[in-house]
Amino acid sequence: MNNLVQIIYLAPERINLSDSCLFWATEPDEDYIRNLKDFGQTEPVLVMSDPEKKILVAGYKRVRALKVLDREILALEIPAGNAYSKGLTYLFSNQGQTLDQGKIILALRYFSSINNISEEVWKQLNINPGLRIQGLWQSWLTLPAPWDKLLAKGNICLECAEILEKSPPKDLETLYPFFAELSWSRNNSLNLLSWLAEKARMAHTDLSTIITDLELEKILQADLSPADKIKSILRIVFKARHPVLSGMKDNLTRRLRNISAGTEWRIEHKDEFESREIIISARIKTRQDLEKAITRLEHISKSGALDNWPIK
Amino acid sequence: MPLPEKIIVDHEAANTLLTRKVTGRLPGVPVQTLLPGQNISEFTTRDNSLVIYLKHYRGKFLRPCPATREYRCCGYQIIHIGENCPLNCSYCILQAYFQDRILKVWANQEDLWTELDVEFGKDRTRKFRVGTGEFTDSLALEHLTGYSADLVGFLNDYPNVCLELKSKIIDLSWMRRASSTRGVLPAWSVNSPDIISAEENGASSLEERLNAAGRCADNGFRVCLHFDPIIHYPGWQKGYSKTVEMILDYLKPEKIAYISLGSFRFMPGLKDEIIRNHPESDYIYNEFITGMDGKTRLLLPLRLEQFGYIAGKLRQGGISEQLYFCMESDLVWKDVLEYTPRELGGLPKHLLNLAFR
Repeated sequence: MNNLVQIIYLAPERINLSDSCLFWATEPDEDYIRNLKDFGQTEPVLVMSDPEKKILVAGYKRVRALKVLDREILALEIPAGNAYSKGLTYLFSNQGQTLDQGKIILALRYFSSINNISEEVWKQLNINPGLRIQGLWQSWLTLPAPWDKLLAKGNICLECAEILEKSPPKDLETLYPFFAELSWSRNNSLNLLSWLAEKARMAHTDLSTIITDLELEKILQADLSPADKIKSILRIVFKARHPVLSGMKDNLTRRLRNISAGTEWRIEHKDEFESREIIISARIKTRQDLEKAITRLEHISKSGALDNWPIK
Repeated sequence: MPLPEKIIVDHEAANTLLTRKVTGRLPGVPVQTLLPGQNISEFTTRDNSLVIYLKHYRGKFLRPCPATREYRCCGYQIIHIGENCPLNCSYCILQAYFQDRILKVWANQEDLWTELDVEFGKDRTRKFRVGTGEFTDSLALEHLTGYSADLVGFLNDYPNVCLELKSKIIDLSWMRRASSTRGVLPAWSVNSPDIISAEENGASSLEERLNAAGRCADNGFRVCLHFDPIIHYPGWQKGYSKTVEMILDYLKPEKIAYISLGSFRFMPGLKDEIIRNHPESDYIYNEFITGMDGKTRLLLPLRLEQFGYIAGKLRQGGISEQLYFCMESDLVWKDVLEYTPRELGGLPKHLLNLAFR
């Protein structure tokens, strides 16, 4: 009898909704409840046999909605299984769902908690075993669970896991508020973490000390827009990581701005100081404008402002 | 070097002289033949196991050094004798070039001799500066292959060719095959003793290299030295000063054909390899930029500081006109040496003159 699959009707209170295998469970909204009321339950939920209450393994939203409607629930009762088979059943029954990073990490946390992230699980989550992406998720699983929300919100990118997994708990604690409060793009988050980690490595200290020394918490608490906070933090960390280069870039910006001040000429250097080349450009509307621009360009040329550039 | 785990031989190369020599020198090491259609990866097991692959090479043996337009190249030509190296230098670009650590040796030497004869023999007035140390260490497998000795023997008939043997180990067995001291330039990579002990795993010490260079000089050969890669680390001044002092202790300036200075530079992918394979190496966290050739290089003022310092010490010791930069711009040449390769008639021509002096 226990090995048979059977269709049954159950009162909502006879179903246990609290099994952790329901890792993507969400509450029904009004529209969902109304639709269920109008069209009825078209698909049974899945429950597993249990002497007391039946354990729900798929269909949380439907059960919650049908409870609101005070209706009996059509269920397919399947034989009892262990935590892994419950999780996999839930995953199979939710195959049509759009997989975002928040959902993936919830599923992985469940299977990780039972020490069984099988190849089948990876495949169900559209992650090909052996590829770099699998390694990134494995790295992410080493982080404390509160970080999952930041990933789900898009405040941090998955690639950061490779740097974060090497950080001791104290550093993770120090870093957490920066990602909890601010939403970082992929490049910005990777730059921030790699510059901090590399600076700490070169200074033979930890990342928390670098963050304290650079007073980055002050920026986080400052009365600035999120975009300005990110910009300021990155500027300070870049300067700490690349002191000579950032000094040169600052000088260059000042120098080129002075040279072109009051003219229509825009001067840029794009070779990271490896060459003497600069790009000079201007927007010209009329012949008169062009003549004026040429005069100003001659003035720039004669000023000697670019002598010994870029070394001295 | 530990004994290889196995020798794999292409079936076409099973009976070549080189294969017989290598298998004869490694009598206890199992030999497997690679049949047509089989892939070398089927025969390798562990990532870091030492495997020698005697390959029937079908490509071009003589090829120009991969130069770039933006930086001055020395114009050296590579005689391609194999790939990969048994040494384990943390900064080695071969980690990024090749996906495995299989030591490949081109076993069809007859094809090599034929190609070299065509290239070097068609105009005996045309001079060539060639070397084997680009994709492998010239001498690291010499005790097994005798490759450099064979090459030296072959080139005795081509006085228009100067062969540079670049290495980090000591093996002077090739010397017996040289009919003249003019056609061979034994060369060693040199670095600060700190870098050699921390980063050049398996290589000979600086003292051993310079001692070997001194022995070559005593036997009438001129030698080459390559400061490459120069690494910027705390205390580098002291380390490189020591190296220059030791060079001057072991070699008279006139015995040095040329000395190159090359700053640490790498394809971007190498950084991850170094982090993975040599996590203790922290020089990669210095201030690097992306150069005009797409390679990562130390920021210009830091390079200039190091080049100026080392070149200054060498000049004080009487080594001046032999100095050149490997893959640097005119900007660097002018700032450090106060002239550009153009004023020397071009770097390849200048080095050719120094090689054949």
